[in-house]
Amino acid sequence: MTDPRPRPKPPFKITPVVFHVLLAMSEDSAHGYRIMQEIEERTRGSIRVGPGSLYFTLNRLQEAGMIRETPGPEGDDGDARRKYYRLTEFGRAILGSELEVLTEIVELAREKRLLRDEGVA
Amino acid sequence: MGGSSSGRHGRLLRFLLYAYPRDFRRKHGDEIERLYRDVLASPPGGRSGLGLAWWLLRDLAGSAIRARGRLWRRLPREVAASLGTPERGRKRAMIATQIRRAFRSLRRDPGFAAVTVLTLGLGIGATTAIFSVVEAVMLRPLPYDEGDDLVWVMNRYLPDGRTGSVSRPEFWEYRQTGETFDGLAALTVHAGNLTGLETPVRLQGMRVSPNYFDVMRTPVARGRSFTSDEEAPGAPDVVVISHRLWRSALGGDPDVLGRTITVDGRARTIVGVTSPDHTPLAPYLFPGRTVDYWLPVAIDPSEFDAQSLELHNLYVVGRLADGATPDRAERAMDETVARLERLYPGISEAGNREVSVTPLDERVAGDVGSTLAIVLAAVGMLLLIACVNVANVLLARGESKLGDASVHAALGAGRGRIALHGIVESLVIGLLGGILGIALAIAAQRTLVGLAPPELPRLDEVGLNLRVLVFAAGVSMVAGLLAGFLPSVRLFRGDFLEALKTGGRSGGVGGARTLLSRGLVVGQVAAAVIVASAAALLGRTLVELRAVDPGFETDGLLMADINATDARYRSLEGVRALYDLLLPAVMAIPGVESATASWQTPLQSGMSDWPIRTNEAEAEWVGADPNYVADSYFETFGIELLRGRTFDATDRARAEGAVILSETAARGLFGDEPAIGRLVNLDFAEEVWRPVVGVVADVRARGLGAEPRPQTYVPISEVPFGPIPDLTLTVDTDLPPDAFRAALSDAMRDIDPNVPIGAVREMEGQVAHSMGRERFLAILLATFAGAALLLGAIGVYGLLAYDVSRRRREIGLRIALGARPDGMLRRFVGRAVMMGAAGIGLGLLGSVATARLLEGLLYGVSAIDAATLAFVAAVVLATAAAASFMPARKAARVDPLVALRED
Repeated sequence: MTDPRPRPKPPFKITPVVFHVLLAMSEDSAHGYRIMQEIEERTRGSIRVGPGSLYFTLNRLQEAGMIRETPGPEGDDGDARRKYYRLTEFGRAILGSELEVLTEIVELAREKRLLRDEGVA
Repeated sequence: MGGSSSGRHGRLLRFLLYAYPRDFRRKHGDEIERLYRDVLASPPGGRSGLGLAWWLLRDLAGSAIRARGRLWRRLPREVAASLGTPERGRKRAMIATQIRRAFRSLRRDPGFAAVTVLTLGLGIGATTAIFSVVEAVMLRPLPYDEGDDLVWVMNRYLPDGRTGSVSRPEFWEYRQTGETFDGLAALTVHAGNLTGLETPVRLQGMRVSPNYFDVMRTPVARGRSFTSDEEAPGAPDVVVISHRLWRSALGGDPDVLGRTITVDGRARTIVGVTSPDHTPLAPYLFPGRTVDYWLPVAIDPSEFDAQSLELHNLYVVGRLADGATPDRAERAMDETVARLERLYPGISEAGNREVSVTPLDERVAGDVGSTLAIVLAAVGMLLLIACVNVANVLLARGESKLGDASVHAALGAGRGRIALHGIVESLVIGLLGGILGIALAIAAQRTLVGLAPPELPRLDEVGLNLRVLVFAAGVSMVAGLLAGFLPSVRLFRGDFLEALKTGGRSGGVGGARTLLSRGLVVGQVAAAVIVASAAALLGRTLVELRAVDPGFETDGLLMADINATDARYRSLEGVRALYDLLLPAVMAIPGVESATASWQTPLQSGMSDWPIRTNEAEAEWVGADPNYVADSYFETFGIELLRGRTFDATDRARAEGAVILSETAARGLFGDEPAIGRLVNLDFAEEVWRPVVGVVADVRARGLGAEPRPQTYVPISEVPFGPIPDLTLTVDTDLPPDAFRAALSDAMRDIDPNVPIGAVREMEGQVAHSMGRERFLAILLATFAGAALLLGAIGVYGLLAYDVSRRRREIGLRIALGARPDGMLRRFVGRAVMMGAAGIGLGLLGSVATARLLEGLLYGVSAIDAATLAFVAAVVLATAAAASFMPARKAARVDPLVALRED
């Protein structure tokens, strides 16, 4: 349970929107519209980021060194004119530590039998 | 959606992106635009139409504010950082250097300095002048020791919450209520003649209960104030006199105490003299009144009866006990009211009255708050407009200074330092504007006070004090910052590299700057429209009021107060004898066409709402304003006789007298039935039934804007409550007031040299006086509107002139390529008209939104009057077009050969 490594400190508050934006880039680089769609699907529409808010967030993440621009992937589904973003090491570390916090909370909830459906991890 | 429609979308989208700061827009603008297209093509969550548009707009506004907020938060941080290490001395030296630099740069550019300082100075001066009035009238504490504890006590009648003054029996009970009050004092205004000196003097004074000076905590300087037994009947006649009266009429006699003076025909012993800095209460309550003596108010509990309960003629001032609040004091009075109702059953239905306790300073400020709030709001708009003008000048100058700034930046000055310079410079401009403004405010104060409506209290206290100075300094700082903020942000973000490359000529921020400047000018025009429509509406109100038929003649009417208070006028016969001599004597003065005497005259506040009723079964009481008049009253005032006749000698012969009703009163009592010959009671409880002998036209006695009230007229000789000491003599004459007064004094001397003649007033002046508030607002707002239009015009002019000068090459090129000069003219005038139209649209929305503020002050015109608003819009549009004409003509006259060769 206890982790000897210090967690990386995020330069600003990781809001649900920021968290989901980071999560949307965790597997592969992504462009704005993909990120929007991914958040929409993942949260089943409960979090919906508009174009302006999305780029405000991306701008901040980029300035904080958590993401960076990257050339789009080769192949059919790549759109060369779009800007693609990917997580930096720092960004990945922040996302990881956020996920750890969430996992700890879920584990705590499970210990205290607060979760209704034990099957869902 | 076809290609053309997406093109339209594109332009709209690119325009909307201007909401973001420049750097952000450059970096992400294209992507955001593309994302918008994606979202519009397949909206998330099945949104469509308005819902989608609303969501996108909210997203745009929210993110733009956050993006800009980050930038604006960074500015102060970097400015602070540019001050270097937090060693105090260094920081101070740094700021001193910046201030010196700012002064130097203003000296180098005197034209710029003059324009900006003058503009801000005008705005700050107007704001400060208005604030000094607001401060004196509403904000300054009353000059009494612990004046916050002083309260005004009145009867409050439910359910409508109407308040009124207090009768003697009521006051007697109220002051028995202990604990919440340290004391309650009754007071009433009084006027009397000081006789026995060379010429009789008319004085104003007060009757007060003996503890008055204790409650107010204004001890007398010599002698003593009243003792508690001096309110009892039969107590010796004593008087406290003012320091001023002691110095003037009594020559500062050191043995004044114990001396006797005759006030109101009664010898009274002087027991006290107030201190020279004593501030009497009456002028606060009744602006324009003075107080030269105080008499004890007589209260005799053995005389309390139904009639004295109805005579509500005392004002009550109280001092709250330690820790008591007006609310608690009101609640503590509930028991007293219950006792009162037990003692005097039937004075009011149970639970139908309470006691109202309000802080005295609120009572003094009265309902002038709304008037001053409007003026303050208008002057605030004017100041904003001035700030915008200065901001635009600074923006234009900043652009040309970007070259300098970029050199500084290249030499290692941080952006923070460069922004700091801009801020310090605008603060210095604000400061200089403030100094000029204070000077202007001092100059304007006298005019302002002279203009103020009569109901404004404490006008003689208006002046420059520390609070006003602090306000002016604060306003100057804020104005400087407001004007300098956007330009400094521009400098802060300026593209120095670009500016360095092009030698500062097209420093990169040009396009966005013009957009920003245009936005500012649009806002400025909007503010000018709001002020101008308020001014126009009040102007219309004045015109409408002037056009009202008051129901009486105002031309050539002069009025003088006759104060016959001598013992011989204490009987109705005595008063009648005086006027039987005086009126013919006045009529004999050459130039006097008719003369009359009356208790009240129109447009003077007086007694009102006396109950009258007919002797018919189940007749209801009707409220009417009473007047007691000489026979010639209707002739002199030109009030039309509708039915019956006016008074004549037969009315005097008859024991029950006679009454003449105004049309409204007759209709209220008898409906459409004939009134002549019917019987009316208007003498309180007494069973005197007067026959109606005539019905006259209504007069607007309570103000030209107020609907006529029911009015009763009874001959002077039949006043039910005894002779009235103060009657007003009114004459219809073409004599000037001074000449008439001299003739009147001569006539009076022959009849009774002991009766003083008050000031002679013109009815026309009375009419103007009754419109004082409207006139005050109309003149002030018109002045502000004029200034706002002028500043707005300067704003439009400045922007276009700058635009034309910056784009001379482009204009020259266009003309060289075949553009027609008059096309150029139209283009620039058109641009001004567009900005004007946008500002007018916004301003009209603002006017409609603020209409409620004005509503209560308008007469004969709606707060949203289409014709007035259209007129204002036309004037503003014409002003914008006119302001653009000079720069536009300059554009049309650009010589391509010269312009293209320019560097």
